[in-house]
Amino acid sequence: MTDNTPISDKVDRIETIIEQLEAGEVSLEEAEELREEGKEILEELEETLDVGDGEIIEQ
Amino acid sequence: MANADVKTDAVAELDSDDVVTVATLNEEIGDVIEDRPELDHEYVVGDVSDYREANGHLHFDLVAAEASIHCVVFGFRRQQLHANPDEEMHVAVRGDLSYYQPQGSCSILVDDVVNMGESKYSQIYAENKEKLAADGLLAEERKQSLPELPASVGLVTSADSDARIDAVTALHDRYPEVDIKIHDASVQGPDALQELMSGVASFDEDATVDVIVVTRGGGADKTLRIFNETPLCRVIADTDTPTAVGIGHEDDQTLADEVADYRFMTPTHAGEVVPKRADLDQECSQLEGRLDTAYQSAVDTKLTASKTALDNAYEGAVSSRLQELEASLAHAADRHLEAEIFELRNQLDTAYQTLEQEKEHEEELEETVEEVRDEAMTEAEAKVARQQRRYKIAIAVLVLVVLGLAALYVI
Repeated sequence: MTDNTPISDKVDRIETIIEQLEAGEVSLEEAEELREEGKEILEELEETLDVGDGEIIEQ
Repeated sequence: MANADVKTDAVAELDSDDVVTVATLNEEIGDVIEDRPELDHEYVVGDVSDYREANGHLHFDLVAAEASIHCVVFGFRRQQLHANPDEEMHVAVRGDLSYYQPQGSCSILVDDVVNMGESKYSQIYAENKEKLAADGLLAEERKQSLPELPASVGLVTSADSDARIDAVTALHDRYPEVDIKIHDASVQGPDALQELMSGVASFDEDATVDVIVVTRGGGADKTLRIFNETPLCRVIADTDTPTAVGIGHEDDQTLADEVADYRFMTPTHAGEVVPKRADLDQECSQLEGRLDTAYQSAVDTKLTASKTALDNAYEGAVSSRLQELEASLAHAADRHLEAEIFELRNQLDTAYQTLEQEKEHEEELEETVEEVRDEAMTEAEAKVARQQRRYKIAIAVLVLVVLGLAALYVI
């Protein structure tokens, strides 16, 4: 996942992570890794949402 | 009329006797119009525009080129019309000219409407649409998706219009952080076409603009016609940057709407080109919550499985040890019982033997007693016999003595 990855792809990835965790067929280590990955993507998402300063620029 | 030679904001007295109110002027105009036979024509020909119904009456503008006049068909007359007026219809209307004094406006109170074919503008509109369609500019597959989160919106509209205020408000209401670049363009009049086209083109060249929005508020249909002009439509259709167009009111539709990647209804709907920040924030926090819950549930599942496995293993071990102990105990108990039974049996045997011996001994004793008694009886009998003999002897002696003594005595 990069800064240019579409928001919907990031959301999809988090959904997939949640489904994997909910299925419960992961080891404790895998669960920890998946959670870390999900948290990182969420942080990226939150940064992505701050797109600008809401400026109004007359041209 | 007022003398405007000297302009001042101060309240002034009028230096004139000929001053009337608006109501008086309108009344005077009304008198002039309604009394003039030369304004009384049998039919007036034009195109129907801005057709609408209100309170059961029909209203439309009869237009021809730049000229237009308001027409009204009262509800009770609707049934007797030769043709029902409709948008894009070329008609001849018959009726009385009426002057509505309160607003100082002229209308035709229509008695009849005759259909004269398609309106001139509807033909132009159809031709324009055909040209755009022939070039494939109306095809759905040409349309680009709007960016899911534009950082910057390029807004082409009239800078001092309500539409601009409405569009900016709508955009920032949904996404306060989005930057809005505004290109001021006339939206009607002689310069409008050029200004609108250059606004769209310049935003298309601006790499920071993620979506171009063209909008204007409602107005008479003929003022919206510029948005059906093919040059403007081509510019909008050919941009690399996604475009969104919202012209007029909800029921207004223009060719610019149709070639744009996205159509929104009115300037207040311009916000639709950006997502709702609040929704995204809520989605993020929901995802975060679900992620935490899912992780916790995965860990719990794993821990529960481990605990169950541990419990099972422990119970298995304890149970198997208990079974061993139980088996040993049962075995020991069996052996103990057997030993006890064996001992008891021995004791029983011994006791039985002892009893047998005692019984034998008793029998022997009985026999001895029997013998002793027999012996004693025999002996006693012998003794008695002897005693009897002694007694007989003694008696005989005594008799003899007595007899001797008696003899002696006698003697």
